[in-house]
Amino acid sequence: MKQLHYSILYRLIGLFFLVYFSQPLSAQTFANAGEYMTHISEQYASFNKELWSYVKASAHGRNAKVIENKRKTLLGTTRIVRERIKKMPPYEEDASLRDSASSYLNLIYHVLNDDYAKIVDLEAIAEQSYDLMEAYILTKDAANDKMDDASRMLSEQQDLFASAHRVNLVRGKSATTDQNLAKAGEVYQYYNSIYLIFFKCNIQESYAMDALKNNDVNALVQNKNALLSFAKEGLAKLDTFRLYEADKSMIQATQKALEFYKQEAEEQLPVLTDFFLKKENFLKIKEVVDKKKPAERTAEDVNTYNAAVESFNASVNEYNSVNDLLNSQRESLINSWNRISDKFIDKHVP
Amino acid sequence: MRFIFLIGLIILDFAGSFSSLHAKIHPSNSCDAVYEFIEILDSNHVAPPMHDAVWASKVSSLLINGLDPRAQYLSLKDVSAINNLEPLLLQDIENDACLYLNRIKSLFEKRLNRVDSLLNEFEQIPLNFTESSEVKWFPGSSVKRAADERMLKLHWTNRIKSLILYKSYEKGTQPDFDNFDELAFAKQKELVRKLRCELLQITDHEEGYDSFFMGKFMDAISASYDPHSGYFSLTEKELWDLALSTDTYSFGLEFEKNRKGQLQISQLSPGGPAWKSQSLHQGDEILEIEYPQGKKLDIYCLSISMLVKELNSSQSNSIYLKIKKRNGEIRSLSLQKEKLQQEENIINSFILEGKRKMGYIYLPAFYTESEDETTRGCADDIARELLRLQAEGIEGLILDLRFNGGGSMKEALNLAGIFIDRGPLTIYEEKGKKATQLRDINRGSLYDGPMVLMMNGHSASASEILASALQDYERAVIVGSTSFGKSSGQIMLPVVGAGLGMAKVSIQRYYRIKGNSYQLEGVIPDIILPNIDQVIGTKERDYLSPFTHTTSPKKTVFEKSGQIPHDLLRIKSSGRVSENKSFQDILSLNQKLLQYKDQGLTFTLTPEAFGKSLKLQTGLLESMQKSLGEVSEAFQPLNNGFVESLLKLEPHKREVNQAQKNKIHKDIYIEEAYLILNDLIES
Repeated sequence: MKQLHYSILYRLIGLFFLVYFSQPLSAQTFANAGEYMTHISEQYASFNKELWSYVKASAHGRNAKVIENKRKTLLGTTRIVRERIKKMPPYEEDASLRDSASSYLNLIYHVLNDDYAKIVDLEAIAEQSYDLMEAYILTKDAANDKMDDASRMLSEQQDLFASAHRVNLVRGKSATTDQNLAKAGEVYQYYNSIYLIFFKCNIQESYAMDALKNNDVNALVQNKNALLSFAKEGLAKLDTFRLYEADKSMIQATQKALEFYKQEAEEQLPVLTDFFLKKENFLKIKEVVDKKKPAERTAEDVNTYNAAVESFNASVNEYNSVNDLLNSQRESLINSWNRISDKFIDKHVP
Repeated sequence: MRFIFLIGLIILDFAGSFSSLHAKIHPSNSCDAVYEFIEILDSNHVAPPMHDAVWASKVSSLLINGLDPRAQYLSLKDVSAINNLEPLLLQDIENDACLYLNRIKSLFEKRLNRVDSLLNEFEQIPLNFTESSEVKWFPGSSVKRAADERMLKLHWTNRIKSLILYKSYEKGTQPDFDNFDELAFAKQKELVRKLRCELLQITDHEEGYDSFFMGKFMDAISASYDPHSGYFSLTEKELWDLALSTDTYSFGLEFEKNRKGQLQISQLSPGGPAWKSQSLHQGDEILEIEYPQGKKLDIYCLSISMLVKELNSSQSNSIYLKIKKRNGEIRSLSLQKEKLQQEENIINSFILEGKRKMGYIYLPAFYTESEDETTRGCADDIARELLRLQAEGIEGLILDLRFNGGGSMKEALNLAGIFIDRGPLTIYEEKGKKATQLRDINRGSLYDGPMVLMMNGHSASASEILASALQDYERAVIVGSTSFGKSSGQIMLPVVGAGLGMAKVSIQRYYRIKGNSYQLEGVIPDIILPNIDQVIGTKERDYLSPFTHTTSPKKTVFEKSGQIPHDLLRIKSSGRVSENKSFQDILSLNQKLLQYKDQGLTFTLTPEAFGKSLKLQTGLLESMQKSLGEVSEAFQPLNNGFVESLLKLEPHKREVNQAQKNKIHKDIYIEEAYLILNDLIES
């Protein structure tokens, strides 16, 4: 679920702008309220630093162990920051800003900890989902909605607090870390939306391959049809998809992959289905002919049998060549998609 | 070899009439097996009843009906004596005792002896046909119980007289009025011998009278939980295995005695001769079995195991069967023995070639794959047939589930998945567990074209799951009559103490994906066609102790497959139905049946007068048969290419194939389904 993680991150990034921008306060009348807000912002700043370190490592292909260590550090920092804010006293009996800030951090903590059960109703999601892929998309959507709501609420609380306590918020220039985080957020958002289009077909194809392995013609045809509709739907979306900073690479790589899946579903998989049916037809005809003694077999029996053998043999050859072709094409295509997407992240995340 | 169901799998069928005639229960007076059975039911049943006075009264009524389904042994006076023993049943359960059972057992034995003496009298003294007595026939209703011993004798007198008179008018012939009394007495003696057979099957039961009685008690206990829980012994399973053996030639059907003591079909072997006849279904009552040489089997006098042995060992490879469908329709057909084969084509699909090319698939039961998984279930078989039909270029599909009493739930869900892209298919609940939804396991559909699903009042359980899912998704137009109304699922569990019997326990309750239920109410078709099952035939609600109609607190999220223009289709169909003579005949037949159901048809038991009422009664059946036999002008049934190539290799199978096509061609319901499908495509 690495991708899910990333997709949520850009939500976090967005928020830190808000808080950070509010830092240079000009607290003319109520100096204490300004300090109160500044204290909260400073806590967020220390979290920001760790977050960026984690995002940067993930984006530029550091090894998994390094990335995981950074995530753990970030998790620890989040917990500390959350506790510090939680322990702050209300400002003149107004605990609104403190509480929304700490509950927001709580949400972040669960996201970083992959503990979605605490944020969204995973049971309801699982029930609405066809499979892990769909549960993944729905969880992401539900978590995003939650994050958006919380972030909006925090931002509103911040403005309300400032106006209630007469703090004049002056939006200043953000620090480099925040700019980097914002940029990374954008890149991941773009990446994710394309990744999902690719991923839907990719996993659907793997279901079809499982069915093929199990000689399950029924499941094979159903999954093939689902693959075709996903590929068509994805290609239509990609046609109008915006470029990221004039970079076509992700769109092109995904289009190429989806064209493959579409062709596979339309042309190659039916050949494989056909093979199973021809095999069954042949075996049935063979069984009937075998039951007859050689002397009892008519010329028509022999012709029917021979035609079935011929048709079956032809379908065996076709099956093998189609299967080999698919296997080699699929491998190079997925490798290429991974290479291009890694390059895309590496290029655009600072 | 395919199975309708397997131990450990959820079974969804309506065979609520399990009989324990062959229960191998230890012939002691111990009720240990009963208590073990009750314990199994209580710990697994989805809604076990409290063991209170209401329950005891249900058990008592069910036991009386089970022992004496035709009200020929016990009078109302006896019934009241048995009812008085109900508190004893509750005490027995407390004390692990067996007093209730033993008291009724000895009472019933006395009553059997009383009837035996009566039959002795009837064997010796000719009945008087000049005395004018009357009986009333109520279609589809059970016989009323006599008040006391004197009335019971009258009941027997009238019953024997009616049977003799029926026999005298057999096959449309007029009786020989001049020598009537003499001929009647010969018939009377023959008849009494047969009736005594029924009695002997109880008193001299193969496994002993005690076993018979214990079996009936187990039946009553299980039926008090719900009509579909039951007990059956391994003997029945052994018989079934024999009937399905791939090494022998067989007719591919299995028998049981239903709760009324009548011989009926308990199972069809998928792909076997009975299955392929397209005329036989689980629950059909057997009226006659005759060999081609004219020898009739004495179905009154043969126990089920004797009957199975007789059919298996017989040199004759064909039989003539006369059966009564659950809707009262009488059908006659002949069956040829065949070797049941692994690779047999169980699902036969046809192309209906008319204005448009449509596919037709008939499924009489939801069979599942074999225990060793070398063979497939019906969903996978239908998937293959659909691919063949699609290769032939069909524009629409008719799936025929009429008389399909259910079978494997897994197959019903897999089959629904073939037509539905994705999403929930049903909701189920078990004792002490939260309601859970069951979903389509494969994303995507195998067939997404226009579709009509045919059902009737005897389409039950797994059929209802499939029909309701396709209806809720608006995936298919449901055509026919309101279904049976059974929403429970059963599982087989061993009962060790009863000499290795099996308990069939209702452990699940099913709901539609919207959370509502078809329990008792059935699935109501989108387009209702006139059918006599709207008047005649047992439905779930007719049982003494069915599950109640409940709704699920759980709701599911699903996306409809499309939108069906129901109103338009209904208007067009009803226009055709109102101009179709066959359908109109059925409507007027239903009116007559309703009238007789209410007032009864009086038969005066004298040779001359009896004929008049009989004419009215047979007239009803004849008009029904006639109306169902019109050849369709809308289409021609054809084989798909693969079947044609097989028939070239096996020309001897052409006859069965042609019979199947003729049957489809003469079916007014299939014709109307075809026309509705055509309207759907054109809409």
